Amino acid sequence: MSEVNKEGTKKTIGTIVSDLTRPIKNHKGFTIWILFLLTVMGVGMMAYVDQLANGLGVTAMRDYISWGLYISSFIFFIATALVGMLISAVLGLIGIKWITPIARIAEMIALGFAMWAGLIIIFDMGRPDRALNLFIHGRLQSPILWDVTVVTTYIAISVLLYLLPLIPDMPFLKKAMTDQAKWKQKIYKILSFGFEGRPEQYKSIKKLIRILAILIIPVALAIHTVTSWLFAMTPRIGWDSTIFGPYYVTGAFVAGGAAVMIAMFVLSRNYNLKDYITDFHFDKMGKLLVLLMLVYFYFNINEYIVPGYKMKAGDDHHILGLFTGHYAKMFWTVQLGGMIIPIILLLFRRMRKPLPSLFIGIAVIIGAFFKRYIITIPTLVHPHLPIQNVPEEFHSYWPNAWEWAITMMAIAGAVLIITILAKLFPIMPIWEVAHEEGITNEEMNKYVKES
Amino acid sequence: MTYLNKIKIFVLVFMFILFTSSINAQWNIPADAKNKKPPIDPTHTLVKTGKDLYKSNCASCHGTPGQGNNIAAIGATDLGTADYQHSHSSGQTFFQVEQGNGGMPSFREKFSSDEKWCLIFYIKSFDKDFEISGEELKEQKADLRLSLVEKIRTVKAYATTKDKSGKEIPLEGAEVQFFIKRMFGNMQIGELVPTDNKGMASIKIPENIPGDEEGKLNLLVKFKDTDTYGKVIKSKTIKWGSKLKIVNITDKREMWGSLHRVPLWVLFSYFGMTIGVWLVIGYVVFQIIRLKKL
Ligand code: HEC
Repeated sequence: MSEVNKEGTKKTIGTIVSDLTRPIKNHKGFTIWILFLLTVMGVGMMAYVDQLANGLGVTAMRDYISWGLYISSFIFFIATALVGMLISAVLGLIGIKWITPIARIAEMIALGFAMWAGLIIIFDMGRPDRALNLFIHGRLQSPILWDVTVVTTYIAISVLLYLLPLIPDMPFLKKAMTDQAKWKQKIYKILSFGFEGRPEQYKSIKKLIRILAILIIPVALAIHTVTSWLFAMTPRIGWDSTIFGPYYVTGAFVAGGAAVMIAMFVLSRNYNLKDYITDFHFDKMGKLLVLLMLVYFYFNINEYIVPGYKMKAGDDHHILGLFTGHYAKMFWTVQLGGMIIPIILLLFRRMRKPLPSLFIGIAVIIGAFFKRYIITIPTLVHPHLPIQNVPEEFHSYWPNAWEWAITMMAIAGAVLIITILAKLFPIMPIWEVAHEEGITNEEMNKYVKES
Repeated sequence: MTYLNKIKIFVLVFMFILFTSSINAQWNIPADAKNKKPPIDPTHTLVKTGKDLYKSNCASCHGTPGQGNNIAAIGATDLGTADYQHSHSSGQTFFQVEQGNGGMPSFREKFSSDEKWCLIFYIKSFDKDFEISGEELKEQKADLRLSLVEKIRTVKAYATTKDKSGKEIPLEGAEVQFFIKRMFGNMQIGELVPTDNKGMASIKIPENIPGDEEGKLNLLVKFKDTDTYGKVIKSKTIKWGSKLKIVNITDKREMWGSLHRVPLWVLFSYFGMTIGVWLVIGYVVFQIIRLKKL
């Protein structure tokens, strides 16, 4: 018996196709959800139009704290997007089978968040009309240009890694979706790229997936390492750290793992796919998340204990600000609620059941969001030269309504991309699930051909 | 005197006063000291010597006599006032300079007796009743002319003055100073050089003085004794300095350079990696398009 379907009886290709395409056809609640997302985005858009018209002055950012919620959200988005690489590349390459039904979910999350990460950078620009100058005058010596390059590359590879496993599903979709709108059928036809289930085609697709899975590992490491270098390459207190690269990467896996866990729950309940994403998968995912969080915890210890032990001038301000000072409440909430307590909870089998997993996932991802805030803002409040002779508001920072609205637009936008993908295409690769069930290519081809 | 120097001295003196406050008693001047008479007669030359000594040893605290630019805060009085002149005899001033008191240092060891008397004569010269014998020192307007001996890197300064008939004659025995102009202030080259009987003073300019890009230096020549000869300053540009090589740090390929000066290893690793990855992506896209034909 395969790992995918531990409890159920053996499925036929017919049931798999109908199970996985049913949610695509069923629109119950879908419109309301889309309307909700669009409303959130509409509010954000209004705030953004105002920001475009009146400049970044409408935000709470000022001369000293010039990286605010936008940049910390940017890191959060990049971080969450990294999970695509972890699940479909790393785990896929070493032959872990249980990821089959969740690999595409991870890839959808990667796509949605990576695309909006790029947009958030634009939101942070006072003059986005000059964005092109980044390419015309950008300096190769600056991590910023590398960041732009590597984000673009990551998006491209993620699109392909999403698309490739989708191609063999197209014949099933073409067959199952004859009752759907014309434009949808057209998309399925185009995206099938002439795939008809021939063995050479399967071989080619598997080979290409393998190539991309290998390629995305260094690119994904680069994307988040370079993002961390935006900070670590400056001599500023709190950012001037040699472990920022791995610290960010492991933190990213934690955020992405939590996102996958939430998406698994929502999609499997909403799409009625409990037979495909089972308790077994939540258990595995929970264990994976514990492992990731333990590694991240280890980096946290290094990142805070080492400077905290030495308390170098300047560092002391920063560290004490986090431990006992102005940021203590947020810091400890994030560290305890978003990391330490979830680690402890997830060690218990009962906590790795679907519902507890959902809540733990939510706690971890909220923690991950504010962890980025904790990394970005306190450092800016302590520049090397004292802040002097400036208006009172320059001294501190808390994002205002505009920034929250625009950030929410980005989050809603990423969720919207995931929603649309989940509405157009099955959330699991039909053919791979079928393979797991022991169904051969010939059987699948036969199924597609018979009418 | 610069403002900074004044502050420095002020601080020094202030500390000095603190240390000696315990012994800072009133001046105790014995009667015979008050009546002590100078062993030599004051002449204009001696007053002039006293003035030079005063300028470099006393003016920092007492200021220029009669000008009121003394540091009253530490108790150093203006020695040029009529008040002072009337209440202090030459002998008393001599005693005070020798002895010192509180913030006033003792100059007993620093100057010879004659030098001290020269100082007293200078101070006393602000008393209009004070009689100075001998010929009055005449201002002797002089001029300087510079000529360069390229081969031996030597500057010759010819000092001239006018005789009674207005004819130009060489000035002998005037001390001449040579300077190179630097960013902040002037750098003196060598010692004072007195002019010889042809009115000539010369100095060799050392090698390796950093000049501008062409090795140009700005030479300044003047008389030491500006009181007598006037504030004559002659300047000349000489090309004997070492050439300054201005290395613009943004001209090299460096991390901090412009895009066009990117270090080659950054350039190659960036384009190497980017092109490499995108070639693979391109290959995958190409293979997807070819899928149909398989
Ligand atoms: C470090 C600062 C300083 C310098 C340099 C200095 N003096 Fe004085 N002088 C003082 C102070 C302070 C007093 C007052 C001392 C007192 O009243 O106890 C003083 C007092 C005197 C007095 C007595 C004034 C009076 O009202 O009775 C004479 C005269 C005098 N100085 C002469 C000189 C001469 C001449 C020189 C240079 C050779 C000189 N001083 C250098 C600080 C200085």
